[in-house]
Amino acid sequence: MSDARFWVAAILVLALVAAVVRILRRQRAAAQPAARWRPALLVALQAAAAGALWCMLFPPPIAVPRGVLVVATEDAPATLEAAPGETLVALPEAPAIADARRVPDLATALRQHPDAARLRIVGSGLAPRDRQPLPLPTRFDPPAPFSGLVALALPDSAAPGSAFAISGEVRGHRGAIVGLADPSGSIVDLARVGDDGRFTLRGTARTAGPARFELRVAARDGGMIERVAIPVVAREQRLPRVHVLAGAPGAETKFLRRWAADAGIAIALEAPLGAGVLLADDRLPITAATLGRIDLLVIDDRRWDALDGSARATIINAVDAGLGLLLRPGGALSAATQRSWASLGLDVARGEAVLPVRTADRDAPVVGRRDLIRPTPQAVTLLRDAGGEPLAAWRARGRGRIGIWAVPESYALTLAGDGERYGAWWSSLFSTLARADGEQSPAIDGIGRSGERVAICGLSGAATIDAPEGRATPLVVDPASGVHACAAYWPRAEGWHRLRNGEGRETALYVHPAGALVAVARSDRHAATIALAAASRQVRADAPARTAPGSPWPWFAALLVTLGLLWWLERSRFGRAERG
Amino acid sequence: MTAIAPLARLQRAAARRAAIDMLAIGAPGALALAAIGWRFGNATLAVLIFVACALLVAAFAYLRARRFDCGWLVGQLDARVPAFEDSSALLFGAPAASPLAALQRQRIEVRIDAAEAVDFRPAWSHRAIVAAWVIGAAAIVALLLWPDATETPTPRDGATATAAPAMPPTLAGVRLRITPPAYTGLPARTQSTLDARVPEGSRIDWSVAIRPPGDAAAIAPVGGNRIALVRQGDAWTGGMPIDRAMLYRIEAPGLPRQRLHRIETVADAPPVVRVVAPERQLAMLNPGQRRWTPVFEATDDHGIADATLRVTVTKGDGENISFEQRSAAIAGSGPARRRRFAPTLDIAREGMAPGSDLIVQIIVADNRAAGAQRVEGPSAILRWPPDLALADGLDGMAAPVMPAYFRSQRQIIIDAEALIARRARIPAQEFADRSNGLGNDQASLRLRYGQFVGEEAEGGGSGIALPTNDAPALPTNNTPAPPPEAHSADDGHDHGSEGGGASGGFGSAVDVLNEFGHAHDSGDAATLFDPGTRSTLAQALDAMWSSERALRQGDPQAALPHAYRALAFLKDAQQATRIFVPRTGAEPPPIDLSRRLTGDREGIVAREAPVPARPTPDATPAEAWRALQPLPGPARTPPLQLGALDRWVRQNAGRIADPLALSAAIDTLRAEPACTACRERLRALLWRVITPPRAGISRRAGGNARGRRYLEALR
Repeated sequence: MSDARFWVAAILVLALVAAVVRILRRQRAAAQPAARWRPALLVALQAAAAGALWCMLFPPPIAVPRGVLVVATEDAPATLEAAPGETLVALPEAPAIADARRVPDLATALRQHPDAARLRIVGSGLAPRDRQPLPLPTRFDPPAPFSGLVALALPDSAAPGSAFAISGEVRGHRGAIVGLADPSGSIVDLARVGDDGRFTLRGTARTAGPARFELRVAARDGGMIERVAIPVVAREQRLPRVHVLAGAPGAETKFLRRWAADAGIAIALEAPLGAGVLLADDRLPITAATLGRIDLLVIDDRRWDALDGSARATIINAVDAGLGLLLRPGGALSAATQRSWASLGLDVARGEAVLPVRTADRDAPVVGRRDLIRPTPQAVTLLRDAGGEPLAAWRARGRGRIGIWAVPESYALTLAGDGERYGAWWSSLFSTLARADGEQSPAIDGIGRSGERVAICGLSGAATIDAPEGRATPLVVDPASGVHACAAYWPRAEGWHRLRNGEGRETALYVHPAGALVAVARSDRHAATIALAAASRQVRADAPARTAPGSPWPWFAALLVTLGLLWWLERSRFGRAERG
Repeated sequence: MTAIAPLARLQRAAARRAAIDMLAIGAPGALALAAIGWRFGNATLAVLIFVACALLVAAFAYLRARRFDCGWLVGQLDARVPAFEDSSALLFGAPAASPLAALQRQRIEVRIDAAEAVDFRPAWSHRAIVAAWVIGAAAIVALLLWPDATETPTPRDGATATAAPAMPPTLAGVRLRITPPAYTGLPARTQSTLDARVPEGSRIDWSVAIRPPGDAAAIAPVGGNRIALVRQGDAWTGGMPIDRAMLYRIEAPGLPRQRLHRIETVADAPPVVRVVAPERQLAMLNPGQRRWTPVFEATDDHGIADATLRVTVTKGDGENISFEQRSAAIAGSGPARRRRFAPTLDIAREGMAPGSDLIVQIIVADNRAAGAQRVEGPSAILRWPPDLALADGLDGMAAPVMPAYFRSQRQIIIDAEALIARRARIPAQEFADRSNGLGNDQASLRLRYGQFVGEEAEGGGSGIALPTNDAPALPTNNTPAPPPEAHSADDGHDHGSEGGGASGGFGSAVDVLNEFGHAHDSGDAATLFDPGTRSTLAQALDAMWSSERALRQGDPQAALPHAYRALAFLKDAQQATRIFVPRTGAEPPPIDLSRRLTGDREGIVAREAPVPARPTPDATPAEAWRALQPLPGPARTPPLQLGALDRWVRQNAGRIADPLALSAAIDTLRAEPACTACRERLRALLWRVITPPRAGISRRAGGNARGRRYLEALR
């Protein structure tokens, strides 16, 4: 019982007791007591008045009949009508529907219509605001399939100079052409969507900073279907410190060193020439401290064989602490090396056969690969050739990663003029395997549109966001989001926003215009509503009978009548002894 | 009534005071309204408004003054002069009817002096006056400072024109008259924008209207000489010939800094000639053909000025080929921009004979004023096959003859083996004939190689020398490429001292070289006839001879071993040549003989292999790109260095696709730092000139503490 009810009840009881005591004392004190029924009637009326007041203040709940609540969402037909027994409400996104009552959101509708036993959602689905677990069994009538760009995966943050990929799906336009335009407006990648409507485009972030690419979707006849801004935020990266341990000098290490030096990577090569002579940029004694100073160790099988057990154990411990280790076979592995590498968790074969690396481009130069990577569930395939054969794989060990590389003479690509592919391969290897250093930068969860609530995740400290019109908004992290550290933000303007987190770092977030990516939004709504509706089948339809607070007005009338009777009875001579 | 005169004076003073008070309150309002009229109308309107307002205020003042009448005075006198004993009305009324009233009047008339000392004028309404003047003054100041909203919009962006003489001059309108060079035949045109794309060598005349006209105006090209404009009536005019693309702006004293405008030039393209007929470059003479009409078509963007026909006839065959060339002007048909040339050549008159070629070429020149561009078109060749002469008059009976090339040694072996395989299926005579044919081929080959080792030519070996497959494809020191590759003194490589009269004795190397070979190196280094190769080739010739003998005897089986041996010797000779190719590359250090084989490794260390320095990509455009990023809020990037960027663009102009556009964008942004569209444009242009780093390596994120704990627990 709530406090209010308790105090009201207490006051009423006290008042009733006082009234009864007063009536009885007057009866007893009166010189000529009235008829016996009169005080009894007064007491009864007092009790009835108190009861009526109580019921007026707290009307007793009444059981309500069950019905179907029809919720009109965006894209619901304007001619929607409620069947008998159905109540029609319209969410703010819904078009004007004649019979529908407007409700600000779904929760309000459910509160206002507790009698609903079932929900029926009409239209393209619920807005993000209403995506809470549904308390009633729900039916969702999906709308007719729609066409356009229905899915879009935006790139994560890219490193300057590295390629990023965007992918998506175009529905309803066979043979549509998608193109990616760079910030200067020139098309950098062009593709025709496949039969399944999917496409992938690639671009390169030339330098650090926010860049606005543009995705253009054109129909087969050239008519523009959609133009979407693709925000790409490239961040300056700390380049890894790499140490290469080779069993002997060779062309592969020479070209690797040259490529890395050109790219600005601190790379040190160490190769014995035999008879105790060591060709070394920087001598690296294998200790936990020295390995802790580098980010990636590249070692070939000959050098691995030459290491003693304690050195190997030091390297493995360093990997556990975060070091990256790339195993680079120079040829077929010896049985001992194979066993040793397999004990690291990588399922490797001897790799006695050299097979060509297949490429999609027929004119591309051919290099050989050793067939030593066996696909296992423990290892992640990092690179594949055009035929789907793995070229590199890695697996996590502790906080570090161990990778294996199956192309012993990749330098041949550089010699044959395909330095681009060589660079892409080794960039990918270094990026994946090197010690973790980057930090999760805050990003908008999904696609942000102006006028729609967005969740910004990965925040730390007291973050502030600057809107294009110059207003700064502090962000409050929702404790319920846990380690994701998400905060809600309601952008009012499209364009770049500057997010400053508490530690002085900042990043750029892009908010699309309100009308952008209509089909993607519709597709999202559709999928989310279907999922909610499917989950709501678990809710039992015959859950405890729903009740609603009754109306206080009948009780008020009863109170008035009772009080009137009391007043009349108190005033009247009826039932009193005639004055003598 | 004279007694009341001082009282009337008091009344007038009060009325005057009330009127002045009213005027003092109303005057600022009239002034403010007049100021509104002046600000949004003109001075006349202001005067009219002021007069009207003044009349209105005066009327109010008059009405207020009228309230101070006789009745008011009586009331005041009664109230404020006790001496009058509430009877002052008697002073102003008609002569008293009753004696009591007359008596009272006489009594108070003598006390009139008491009233004169009293000030009946109403007090100044200080507050109202001060408030009115303050509000009025504020309103007038505000009106004077109010921005002028009645300026007339101007035809050009950013330029303003106004009648007010105090305004700075503005660009009211421009006209460019573009006169292409006369030879192009293009009409002159006029445009009203300052950017233009004109044929090279055009003249542009500017006509610029500046309001007010000012004292001077000029066209200021970036990095060029200013051209002062001349006043002509309302406009400033001037012009210049345009030889290359440029950026310029219009300057005039007092004129706000204008944006840069761009003149682009379209270069005159050289003419293009193509052969329309024959369809293929090489045509064969048909039997009985007497004339030949090749058709050429020459196109040019502005017109073909003249054309020359060049006819070359070759005579003879083998090495004994002579040329005869003549040139003649030729007239074409059709429009000047697309002209057709169809010379008809009489085959007999051109002096063609069997085996000769007739090569026809058109040389056209366009009509460019500054040096015509001359282009030699492709040639059409008419060939009279050598053997066709025999068939003269026997149309259709002469089969086309394929040129006779030597078979290679390997081909001879293959053919011989094939012949042996088919021995059982063909008659003996045919087998012998074929074997003999192979023997002939073998003989030709032997003679061909014999030339290299200085054997006596046999059977006219000095004649044509045709390539063989066994001969090295590329000339080397030992075996130069055989003829018919024609050599001359100016064919692009150095020749040894050929000829020159320095003939050695018979059989000496130099002698043989001069007689048969074609040495590309100096005589001292010539290795063509070193004894090893020479003996190898001699053995090969021996083997060939044996093979030939067996073949001619109809016994290819016996010839095969010799043929194989010959092939092996030939390959040896070819392999041997490779040894003598001068090699470049690593030069190992000299061996330290003092500690050779001693096992002494003291002081032997690996040299640190140097990594060649590569110029780092220029950061200037990338920094400018970042400084221009359209992020709201306080920026943490370094501010935009437009000067440094401009310098960079000028230094790297050869490397950038469109430096003029970049320069113009920089200049525009410098003049208008607040222009968002200009920033966007410069940013877009910068993207194209940024050099991306060579490797894009991104570091993976480390994850949070919980993630790290998970990874560590995951063993």
